[in-house]
Amino acid sequence: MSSDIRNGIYNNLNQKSTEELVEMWQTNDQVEWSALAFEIVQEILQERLGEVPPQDAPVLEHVQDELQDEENLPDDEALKKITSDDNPPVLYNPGEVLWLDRWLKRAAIAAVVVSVVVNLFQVPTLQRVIYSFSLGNPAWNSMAWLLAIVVFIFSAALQSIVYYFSLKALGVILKILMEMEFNSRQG
Amino acid sequence: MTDTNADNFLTVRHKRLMWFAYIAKIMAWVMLVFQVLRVIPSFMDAQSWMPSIGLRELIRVQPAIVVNLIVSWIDFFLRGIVYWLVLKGISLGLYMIVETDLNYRETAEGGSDEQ
Repeated sequence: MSSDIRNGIYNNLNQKSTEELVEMWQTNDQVEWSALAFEIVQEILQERLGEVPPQDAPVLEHVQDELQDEENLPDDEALKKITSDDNPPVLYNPGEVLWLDRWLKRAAIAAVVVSVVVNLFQVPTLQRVIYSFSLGNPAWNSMAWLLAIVVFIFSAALQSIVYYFSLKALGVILKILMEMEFNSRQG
Repeated sequence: MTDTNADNFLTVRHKRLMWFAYIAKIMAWVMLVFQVLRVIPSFMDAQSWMPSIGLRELIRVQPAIVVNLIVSWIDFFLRGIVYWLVLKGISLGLYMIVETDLNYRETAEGGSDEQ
């Protein structure tokens, strides 16, 4: 079993280029690679080069802060990288995507406000319609107002939610697509 | 991806997506103009009966009608802006999808050339 494992690791590492193996050997990252892997790399480099280059001091733990700074850039920093890239995209303008995202956020808020106001002005009409079903019974007047307000709250809330989250989601989707396109350009 | 390389890589699907993106971009402006034009008949209708009453008199006696009118115009205008933003977003999104796929194809072809 152990010889199978060793052979498997050997075959995998043997497919790497000599430069990659030298870098791996010299980096000496013992968090990422096992002692067996280093033993096999040493063997392969000895076969290929005739001698093994000197090794750096072993890396026994990763510096998480540096990795996190690189991979989890704040949104602004990441977007600056995308929009100031030396190899810009051909079919679209990243600046336009950011501009559109800003205006989608503003439109989302405006849509909520206008939905509430427009529905608010429908309340008297709605109350008259509901009241008409009671065949003019005065006792139903207050009930009609109450029902009209309930319908207003429900329809305004529903419209607002649909407009707000749709527009916000579109902005987020566009930024994600832009980041995916940027990553595809980096190879 | 460079301009010259893009022409060599475009497949029928890419061209179709880019066509939809182009249509969405045009429709964005069409919808914006259409919604703005919808305000005109309402405005002209208001112009026809407002002079007989007077705007100040109307605001004093029936402020709700004036506010309702203004809100409906803002609603039309806002709808036009929302349609424009959404269709423009769809257009940009489609272009980005095509560009991403072309980049991956270019990278894959570059990798196979090296081998």
